[in-house]
Amino acid sequence: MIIVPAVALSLLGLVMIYSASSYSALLSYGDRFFYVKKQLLGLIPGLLMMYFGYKFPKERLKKLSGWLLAASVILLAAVFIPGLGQTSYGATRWINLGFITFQPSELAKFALALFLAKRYASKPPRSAKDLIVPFAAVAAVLALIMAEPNMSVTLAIAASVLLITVAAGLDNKFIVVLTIFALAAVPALIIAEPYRVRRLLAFLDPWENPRDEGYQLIQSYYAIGGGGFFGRGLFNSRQKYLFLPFAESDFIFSVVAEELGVPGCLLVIALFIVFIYAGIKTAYLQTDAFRRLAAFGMTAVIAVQALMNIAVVTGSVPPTGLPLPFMSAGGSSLMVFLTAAGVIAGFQKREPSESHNRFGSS
Amino acid sequence: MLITFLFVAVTAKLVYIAAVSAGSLRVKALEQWYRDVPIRAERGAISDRNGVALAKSESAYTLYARPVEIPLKEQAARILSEKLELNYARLKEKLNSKSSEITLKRGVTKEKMLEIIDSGVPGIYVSEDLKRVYPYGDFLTQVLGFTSSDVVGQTGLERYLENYLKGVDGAVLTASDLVGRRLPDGETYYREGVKGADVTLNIDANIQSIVENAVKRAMLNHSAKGVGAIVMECDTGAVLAMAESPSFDLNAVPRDDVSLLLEVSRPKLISDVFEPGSTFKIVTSALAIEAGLVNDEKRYYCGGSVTVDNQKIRCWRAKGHGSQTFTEGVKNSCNCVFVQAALELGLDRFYDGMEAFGVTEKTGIELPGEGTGLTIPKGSVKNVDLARIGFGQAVAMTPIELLSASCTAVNGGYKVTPKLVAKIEDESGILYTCGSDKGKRVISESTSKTLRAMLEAVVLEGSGKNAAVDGVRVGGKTGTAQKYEDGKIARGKYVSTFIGFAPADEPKYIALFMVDEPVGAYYGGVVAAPYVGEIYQNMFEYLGYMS
Repeated sequence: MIIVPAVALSLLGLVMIYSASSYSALLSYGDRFFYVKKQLLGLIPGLLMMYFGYKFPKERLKKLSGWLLAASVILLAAVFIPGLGQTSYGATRWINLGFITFQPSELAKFALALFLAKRYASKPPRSAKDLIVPFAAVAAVLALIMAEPNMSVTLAIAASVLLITVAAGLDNKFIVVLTIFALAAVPALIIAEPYRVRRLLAFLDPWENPRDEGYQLIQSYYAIGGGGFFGRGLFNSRQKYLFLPFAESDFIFSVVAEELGVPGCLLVIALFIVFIYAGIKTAYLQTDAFRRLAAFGMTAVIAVQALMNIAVVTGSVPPTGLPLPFMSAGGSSLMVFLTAAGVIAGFQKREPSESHNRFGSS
Repeated sequence: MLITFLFVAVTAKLVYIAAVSAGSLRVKALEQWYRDVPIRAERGAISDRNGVALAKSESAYTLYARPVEIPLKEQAARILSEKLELNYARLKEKLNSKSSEITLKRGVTKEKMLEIIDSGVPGIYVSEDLKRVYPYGDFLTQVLGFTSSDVVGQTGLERYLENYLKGVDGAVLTASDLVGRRLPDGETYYREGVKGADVTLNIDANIQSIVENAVKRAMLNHSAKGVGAIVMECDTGAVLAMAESPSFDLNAVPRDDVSLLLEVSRPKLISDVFEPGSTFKIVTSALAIEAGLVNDEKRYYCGGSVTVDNQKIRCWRAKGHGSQTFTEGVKNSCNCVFVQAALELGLDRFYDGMEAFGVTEKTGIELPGEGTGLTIPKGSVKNVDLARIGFGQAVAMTPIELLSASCTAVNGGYKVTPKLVAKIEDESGILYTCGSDKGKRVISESTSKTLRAMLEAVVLEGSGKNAAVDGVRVGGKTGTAQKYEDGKIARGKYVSTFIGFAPADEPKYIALFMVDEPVGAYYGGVVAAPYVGEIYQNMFEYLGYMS
């Protein structure tokens, strides 16, 4: 059930990437299928990885989660090694492996979810003391991602972590404290980096600075408004002619809105909701605490990111650069998401070897 | 639950943008989706009262092609060569060349240009060449004015009426990408502009031509620094002719010498003030008669000069005019009579009268840069000053102010505003018509009548004899003023004027003729009056008053 929306979104993404990027790809690379080909390079291995994730024994996944997180942290740090890390648009977020560029943060968010699931499964967050180790891990990951800098992924991961921690049985008073702490962190970050204040204002009135901070959002508005309720029809985007920045990645949803209108957007949102509910249902049906928290956590990561992306594109929250899971162009990102979908789906099937779990139900 | 709620909220925002804000967003976005190449609106024409074109617009287009944007070169070459009457083989060769842009044809008409745009051949670009044409060349030059090279009014009516004449520009809109490249299958369409409004003047080209001739001849005959003339309708203030020399051909504006251009393009008849001299006696007479200070029994004595405030004021005739009535004084243009008249009127009545006659404020004629009369501040006027103002010294005004005041004096006593523009009309209808309402009354009908008789005597028996025309009763007044330079009288430099109206008993037309710095003879009666006579002679013949 969780595979269907994931694959459907990936395939729809492929079509939309073609539509959004054919013009710019032809101009820049002389090949209108440039981004489509790159995406296929992520999609095909991604589907294999999804199957692999589905089949992968979850008990081993649990054992490996610590190592996975350690590997993620090393990769995140590796971004800053000159020659290995790649800087674009003023941020160093990518590792260039020659044939493919890879964002370690994509892997790190799922590794963190798995690590927290394992940790909370053995030590549920009952007191402040129980939170020290998990939050130290979280802090290490977030610090590295913020250093890139990548504010949006930092926020997305923080939100996901909060959801997992709450799901793990966090006391109500901690929820309040953590929420206050998270809310307090936002102004602190804004003060630390004033360009975020401008970005924040741009979201409230993009026309104040139509050429700078407000530009992306205005272009997204033009796409959605230009499409109107029923859209311009597939491949008829007007904004893809270089007006809409990152049309094939961060703003792919704007192109969906422009070409397919509100019905197309509702389809995408419905697919995400089906995905999320399938993920949550999977988690709910688990008797094992790790499996439950891992399924929930990985679903939460995808849900938060999808929601944030759509919120940014529709001008509901301040603009941040965050791709739409499964749909945005980005081969390594797609591979990771498909793998994650496979892993979540893997929790649905009972594994005979694990039918008697060690921790019992919680 | 929370996630569903947030998704619903975001979807609501999405629907709001897509459905509610869509209209206004699309309007804003259109600006970036289309690159527009403006097509200038056709500038309105200016014509005389009979529809004779005095200024008109001509536009032609140059068509270009960018070969890289034309995939089907043979087809394009066939269509273009046929429609533009070009050599097919040569055009095909050009379209296959590596040049980024080729000129297809210059001087293409608007209809043809639109036909090419509609033909669907891609990669065609248009540029427009605008031209303003003045069919008569050096004619009504300072009044019409001229435009800049991109056809924006710079002087005269072209500038004053710019907003009417210019219209609303159209555009060729091409769907293009962020940096202005035409889209692969991008549509191009034409947005129609609005043609500028056409202006009809009160000017009569025939009368203007008569006046232009007189002005040019006076310029030559007297080796003058400048000559100007205006003919106006007495009742309406409609300006029938206004000419000045030196001048220039509006089709060949001498832009190289900016200071010279500023000098010759300025309508001095409305912008520059001068000390009018005896022609101003028309106003003094009207005020004196209106005040009841004049009658046939009253005698005035001129001994060649009169002393006021211990200053000796000379009459132009050194041996004096002896004892005269006021009528004789007007006929003789005797300064002593007008000194006495001004002093009898007193400062208050005189200054109020000048204001009522409008020589202290702009007339409101439709030209940029109108000047205003200058008077000594009322508080500083001594008797000797008032005495001089009585015969047109120690006061300055523009020729158009003087003519308008004189018109008021003889037309039955009501104020007129000189009007150049009769009608402004565009495709939507008439935007302006000049009214024919009479202005407010300044002097009584009978005062005006008395004055007309006196001024007719000037032409019949006095200093204005040279303005007489057989078969037409003409009234008028001469004026010869010494010019001042740096506050001192400039020796040998005069402004000679004549203001004449006809027919004298029931004036229909009033004319001012002025010669600036004539060489040789300089009396207004000799230098200016004959031209007014000549103008009336020709005018009345043209108007059919004389067989």
